[in-house]
Amino acid sequence: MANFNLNINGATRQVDVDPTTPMLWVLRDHLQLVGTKYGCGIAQCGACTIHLNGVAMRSCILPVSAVGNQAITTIEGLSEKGDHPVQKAWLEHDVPQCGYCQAGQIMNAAALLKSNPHPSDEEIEGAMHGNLCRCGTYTRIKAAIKTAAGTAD
Amino acid sequence: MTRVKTSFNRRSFLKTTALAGGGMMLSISWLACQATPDEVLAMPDEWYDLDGFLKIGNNGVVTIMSPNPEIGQNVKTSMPMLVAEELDVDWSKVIVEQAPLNTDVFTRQLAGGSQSIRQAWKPLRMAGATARHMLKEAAAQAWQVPVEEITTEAGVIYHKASGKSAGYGEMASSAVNSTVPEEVELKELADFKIIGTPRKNVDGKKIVTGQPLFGLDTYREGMLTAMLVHPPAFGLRFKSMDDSAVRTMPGIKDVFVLTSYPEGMKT
Repeated sequence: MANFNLNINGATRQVDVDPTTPMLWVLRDHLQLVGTKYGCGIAQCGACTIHLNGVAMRSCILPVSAVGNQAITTIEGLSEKGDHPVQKAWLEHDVPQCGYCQAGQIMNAAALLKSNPHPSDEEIEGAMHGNLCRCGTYTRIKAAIKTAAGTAD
Repeated sequence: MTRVKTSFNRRSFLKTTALAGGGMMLSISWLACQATPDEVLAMPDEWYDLDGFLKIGNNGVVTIMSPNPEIGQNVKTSMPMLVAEELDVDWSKVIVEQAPLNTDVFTRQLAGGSQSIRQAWKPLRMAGATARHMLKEAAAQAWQVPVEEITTEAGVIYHKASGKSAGYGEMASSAVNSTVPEEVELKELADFKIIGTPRKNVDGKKIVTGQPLFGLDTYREGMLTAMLVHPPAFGLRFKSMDDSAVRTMPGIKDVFVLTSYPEGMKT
């Protein structure tokens, strides 16, 4: 076990955990930030996506010891009032069905638009293809990203 | 006009309760109004069982319990829509709550076989229609007019001839004392205002902001985490294990074997 001071959603949070603990479980089990979801545990589904210095990262394979003082953002910290353009577009398009994968989808989409504010259809598909949705909400995800980017038809 | 009986067997019950601070709670056995076999395909008898609640607050806000598990088929939104339609309320005044797991009350709480709406079609509409009828009775009593002259629209009760009107919330606490109707009329399909219209996922905001919503998000004080290790391939069976290394890990309380096959079963 070891102490880590983490920068999460703009606040410093201290945890005493095994250094190999994936950030996913630090967030969920130690900090009760349960918006980030466990899907596969092997970085194959995207449900656990968070931002590390603004870049999308699969938290299930990110050991807490690799984080240091880099800024972590989770779905709870994406916006103060749930009004990030991606969140607003998600509600406008009624994207979620069961909702389980959607935090990961939203975090991945938000990181995409940060690095590429006006992605083409191909760029959206390329960036989002690692986020699986069992309900099959892909067409609404794509439409919502285009709305958030201001490139909706 | 479709008329459905609200109670025709001993297992059915309907209970009304006055809420603290005013309002009405209707606890109704949805089992009492089941679909006939020719209305539902391939339906085991026990799938009929549904129970639930609706509550009307004195401010007119309605809480509708959604009994079945939401697994992306949108029943948490669509099942309460059936109740709200026949209750005749403004959907924006409806709060949906997931019913707790309580099979004594809610009986068959499952998702499967594409049956949720087929099974709930009449019972949930009956639940809404029953509450609406009791509100109309309460208004007729208060205004001393025949109940047949009472109409409703979007959560408001009207007696057009005398120009009287009242919100459901105003009549809810007296509606608790209305006689429970033995049968109620259901709307004609052409009169639907909610059913058949697109309504957004009632949990949309919670989902996009990462609020706790799923089984995995549940936390109870003192709760332990259990992890399963499955055989690496189908058909393999447990032989033995050496758990000595696992038991030295921090936080481990116990290690034990579960078998999901009957003892002696051949594989």
